[in-house]
Amino acid sequence: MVHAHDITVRLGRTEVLHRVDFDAAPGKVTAICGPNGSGKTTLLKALTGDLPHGGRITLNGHDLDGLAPWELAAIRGVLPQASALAFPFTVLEVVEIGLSRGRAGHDRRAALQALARVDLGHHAGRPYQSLSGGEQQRAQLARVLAQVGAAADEDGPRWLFLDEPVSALDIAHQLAVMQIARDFADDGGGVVTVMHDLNLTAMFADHVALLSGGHVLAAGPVSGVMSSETLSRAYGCTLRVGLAPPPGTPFILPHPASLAAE
Amino acid sequence: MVALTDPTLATPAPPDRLSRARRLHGLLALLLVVVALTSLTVGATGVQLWDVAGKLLRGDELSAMERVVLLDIRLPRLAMGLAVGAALAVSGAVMQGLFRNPLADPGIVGVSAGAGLGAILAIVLGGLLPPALAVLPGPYLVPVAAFLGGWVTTLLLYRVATRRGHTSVATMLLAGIALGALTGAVSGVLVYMADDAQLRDLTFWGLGSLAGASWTKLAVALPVIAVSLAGAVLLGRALNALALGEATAAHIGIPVQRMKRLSILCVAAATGAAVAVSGGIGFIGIVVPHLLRLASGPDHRALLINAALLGAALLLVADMISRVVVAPAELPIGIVTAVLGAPVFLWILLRQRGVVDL
Repeated sequence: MVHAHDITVRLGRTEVLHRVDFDAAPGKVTAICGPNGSGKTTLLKALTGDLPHGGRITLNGHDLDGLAPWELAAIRGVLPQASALAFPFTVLEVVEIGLSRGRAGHDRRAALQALARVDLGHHAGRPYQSLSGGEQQRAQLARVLAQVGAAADEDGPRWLFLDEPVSALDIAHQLAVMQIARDFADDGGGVVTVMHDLNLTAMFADHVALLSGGHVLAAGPVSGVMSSETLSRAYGCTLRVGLAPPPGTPFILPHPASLAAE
Repeated sequence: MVALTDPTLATPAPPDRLSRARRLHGLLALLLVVVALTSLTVGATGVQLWDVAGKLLRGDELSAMERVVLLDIRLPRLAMGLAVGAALAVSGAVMQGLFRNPLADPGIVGVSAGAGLGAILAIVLGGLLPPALAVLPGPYLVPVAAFLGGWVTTLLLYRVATRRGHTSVATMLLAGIALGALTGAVSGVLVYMADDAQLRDLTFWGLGSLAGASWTKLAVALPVIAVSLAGAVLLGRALNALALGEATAAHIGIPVQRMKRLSILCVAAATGAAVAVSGGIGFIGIVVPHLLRLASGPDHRALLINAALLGAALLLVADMISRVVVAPAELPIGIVTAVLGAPVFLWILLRQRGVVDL
């Protein structure tokens, strides 16, 4: 379980999250959605322990502030929005950096497998800096997957915290990466992901927390939160929600302001 | 769903650069032994290592000359070259990892500037100390002042850059530049005040030399350098993680703040001690890690050990050159490292330009 209660975050003098409650369960993909500046990334950073915050956050029942970095790293991996690499490591070496535990030979196999999962197995030996933005994003996902290992074991569920994991990807790889998140949840792990794409969210997430102006506007199962009215209110534009052919996944169509009056 | 590569499919494994870098340990150690033995045979006097070794094997007495030259001049000089070269190269590699910048060097955290100021203060104003305060005999005043100067500036910078338990590496870099300019100005005033003899001392100290090596100096500097290098070598994994940024390093499980503190501590101690006994020797800290990254990749787990070995070997070579080219006089070693290091560094920059981002 991720359980966050009464979370307040200040950046400088501005309070950017106001007494937010957030829950995520293992076995589920929980998406954090909302317009730019609504506090999505801030909430994710509070949940991963990167930002000082008011309120209380627990991960698998442990108080977040009471866990050492290496204890946290054993339970959860974090995919940041962007990461710059300082030295000319290869793609495989970047993934191996995520594996702070275990023996070298074993590490290597796990790293290669993680790279294959994100469709980068053939680029393992290339300099990381020579990859495209989308490929770098996938390489970082491989690093995170290698770090957490199995989705769940006797110590409990592992967690993925993803900050816009598909923002730089082509549509095929968007689907592939979301499927990896889905599979991780289906295997018993927990996924918390910041999402911009509402259709991908509707397709792959179980729960959504919809933020607006540092508050939670709505939270709950996809079908409940993703209604035309709630989404339009959150994003400040007209959005129409329909149902795709079976299995009945909602899809969201924007409606230009010029047509809204009709 | 797109067809992703099947994870069970065997992809040809890319070359393992870490193993290659680790194989380099042995090669560099061998190089170091060869260079060290050679350096024992080179000198202004005609004392030959092989004659001495032969005598020792036969159980013959060494002449007084051989004893002095070998045991009191060349051996301590060799030990100091090893320690200083290793300290400078490892400190450079750690700083580059910490600042995530291949051009960083101990000079950046203010150690060198502070140590320089300490030395200049001791050289110019040391004579003004009242006899009661001048507890340190002349030859030790300069190294001790240099060591303290390096420490004080580093601690000052660390305090400036640390807020609420978080040390900003960028602030430290900028403050280091400011503090460097300030110490430079103060040094300038002191140089202006200095008399001719002091000016000569200052020049030689600034250019660096191993000529002052002695067992007593080593007894102080060697433990400091050895302990801080041992600490630095443990940082390999953490420095690798730091290449991905501080936040990601923390996510991977690295206690980032503690690791930054340990890095700065090790570098300040190792560089402070090295500069204190040998003066300002440049380029080792930048060129050695860079060459090694080109040869065997940036993995700090192997890089730090290789840097110690190659740094020590290179400094011994530079020292031999400095002793030979104008024999029986000596060229300051800082001149040799600069003359050798600067073109190599430029060549690396030109080769790398546009290929990969440094």
